[in-house]
Amino acid sequence: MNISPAAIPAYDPKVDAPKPHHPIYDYDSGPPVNRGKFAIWLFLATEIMFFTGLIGTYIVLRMGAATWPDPADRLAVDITALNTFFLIVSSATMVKGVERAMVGDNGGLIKWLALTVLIGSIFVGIQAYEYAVLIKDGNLPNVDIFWSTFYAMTGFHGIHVAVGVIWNLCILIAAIFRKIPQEKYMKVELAGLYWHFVDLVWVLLFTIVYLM
Amino acid sequence: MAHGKDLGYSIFRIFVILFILTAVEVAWGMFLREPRWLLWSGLLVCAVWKGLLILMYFMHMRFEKMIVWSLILPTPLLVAVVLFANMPDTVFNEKRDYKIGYLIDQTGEVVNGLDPEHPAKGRGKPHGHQPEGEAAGH
Repeated sequence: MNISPAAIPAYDPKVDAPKPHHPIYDYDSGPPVNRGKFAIWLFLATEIMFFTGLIGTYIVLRMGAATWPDPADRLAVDITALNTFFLIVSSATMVKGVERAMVGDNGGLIKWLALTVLIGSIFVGIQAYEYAVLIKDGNLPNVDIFWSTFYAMTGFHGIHVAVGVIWNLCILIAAIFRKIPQEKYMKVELAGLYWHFVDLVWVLLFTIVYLM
Repeated sequence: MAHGKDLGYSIFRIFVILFILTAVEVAWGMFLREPRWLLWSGLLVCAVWKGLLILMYFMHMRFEKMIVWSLILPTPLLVAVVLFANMPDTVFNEKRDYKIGYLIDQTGEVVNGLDPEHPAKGRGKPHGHQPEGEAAGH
């Protein structure tokens, strides 16, 4: 069927203009919480499952072994207990940093965040020292299942701590050179949530790997 | 969002409780090795307690809305699924013999393993169940 061009009505923007793809609301249709916080908690949920996989593997291998070495005979529990203490202290200093950011105290934020970065770095340093001593003694990850699981769990956690230190350091640099205004405190809080999560994981790992 | 002392909790107080729990846990783990059930249950209580304190106060979950809780609540269920799915390989497996030794030779056999008479560099004292008539780790 042929249609004459004259039969086609002219373009009328009131009628023919493309409609928006999404409905426009007069309220925020997002989740009733800060989106950054929503995203970080979603991310942390995946992290929980990641570490659960590692710990679950450890439980399977340990329960499936006829014998298992006493961790106290192989690992330096005392120095690691000190390291645990450091990480808990760093969590407390991080909370203080977030608290300062919320009231717009940039100086206080810098002080507490710098302390958090310093203590986090000490934790990574002590773990690196522990690894160096173990490896020097010939305790490599491929020696037996005990060492394989030990390095897998503590290694991945150590990487997370290092990432947390770098994240906190970036915020510290931003606070020093640009200042973080009160309304932007969420940047600090998100880093804090990640940092506390790393602390929480270590609390469980320390118990399972070093003490049990 | 209110936080820290704005909400009526003291950061220092939580920190002190965490410190005390860590000290108790380490002492428990170093000096109360037997019986194992007492060791493990005590350690787990301390670890879970500390974890909850960090989660509820430092991560301020206690003050969060349900939308944030809904992101985390499914994970314990998934954790339970993972652990229960592994049960056949652990609890119900009567042929558990994963090799835990100090050295494994080229054939895959464990040498100089957890034999208490030949501990490698004084490490690797065995404990727990050992199959009858079988040297530990061999």
